[in-house]
Amino acid sequence: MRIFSTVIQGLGTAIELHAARQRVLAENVANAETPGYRARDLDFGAELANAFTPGAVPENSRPAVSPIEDRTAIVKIDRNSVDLDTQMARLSENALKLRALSEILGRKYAGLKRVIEGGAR
Amino acid sequence: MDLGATLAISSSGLRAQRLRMDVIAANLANAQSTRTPQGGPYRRRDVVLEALPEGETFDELLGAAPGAAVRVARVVEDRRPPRVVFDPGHPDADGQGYVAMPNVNVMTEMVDLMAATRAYEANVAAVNATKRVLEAALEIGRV
Amino acid sequence: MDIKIVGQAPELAGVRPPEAQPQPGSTGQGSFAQVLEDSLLEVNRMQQKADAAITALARGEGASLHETMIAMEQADVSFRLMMQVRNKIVEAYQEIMRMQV
Repeated sequence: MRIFSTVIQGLGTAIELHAARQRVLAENVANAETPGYRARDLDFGAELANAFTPGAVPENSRPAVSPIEDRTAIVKIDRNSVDLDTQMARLSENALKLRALSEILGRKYAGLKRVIEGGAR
Repeated sequence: MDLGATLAISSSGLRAQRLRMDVIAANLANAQSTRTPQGGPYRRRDVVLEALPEGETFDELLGAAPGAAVRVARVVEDRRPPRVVFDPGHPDADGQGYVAMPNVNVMTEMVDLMAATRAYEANVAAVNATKRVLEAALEIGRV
Repeated sequence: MDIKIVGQAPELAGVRPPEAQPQPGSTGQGSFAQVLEDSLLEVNRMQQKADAAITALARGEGASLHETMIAMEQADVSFRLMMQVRNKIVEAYQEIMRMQV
């Protein structure tokens, strides 16, 4: 019996992807003054879309995305391409998304528990 | 309202104001520079801000209103003539003892700097307000 | 004793549910079975709507956060309502079963 629907598994995958992106963005901020460091980001749009498509991804498989160089970043004189404002904005947005997904997943689990225990008196 | 679109708009404002402050700082630093690689005294620079149509900033900027984000379109030079000061002892004085000084008015630059700082802080406040709103949305239905 | 489903008992044969969507909370209108079935369909519909909103939000397809949260709340409320209706029916059934003949 399949208890955990595509949505619940997809949410788990989405949370993992966003957490990985948080790490990459934090690395960018840490290297804001490092000469030669190019800002990086994660592009997981395709993985996200597949995570919520029934049957697209085998169950319990870990998503694998690698950081790629952010080509839209302007390179400064010291060959560093980290713009603090951009990175902070992305960090904010990613953190909020992560919180939202976690909150939603928590409510889905609470709903499941309510279904299981709802009829018992 | 997309989660990231509003934040992307505010962050473009932050970047634009930051660049504006860089230009003002350059003006202040060069207020006395009588020599430049192009010859002649330093000419004051200014930024031209432009409202961007949708889809031209980050990839995440989906579904935002047209003309939402901001960008520094150009850094332009002030075409006004340089200030001429009588100073015969100056190394760059011409035959009559006049020196062409940069057309930078320090008072004006300081006022611009304050304005740019306030604008930057306003954008930061907008970002924080957006975050609070989104966090409040997460509270829907929580007893 | 021949126990029929409450809605099919001959005494209630003359009772017709109103033409509009029967209100799950109202008493004396429509059969309990019909009300429960409608509740179930409504719950399922709300669940699917909430799931679709969550999927759109997670994929970054421009769904708005508060609409998703509200859709989830609607699904939850309609589910709890259905559970209450179901519990009341079970209670009523057990009450009837306890009656001394």
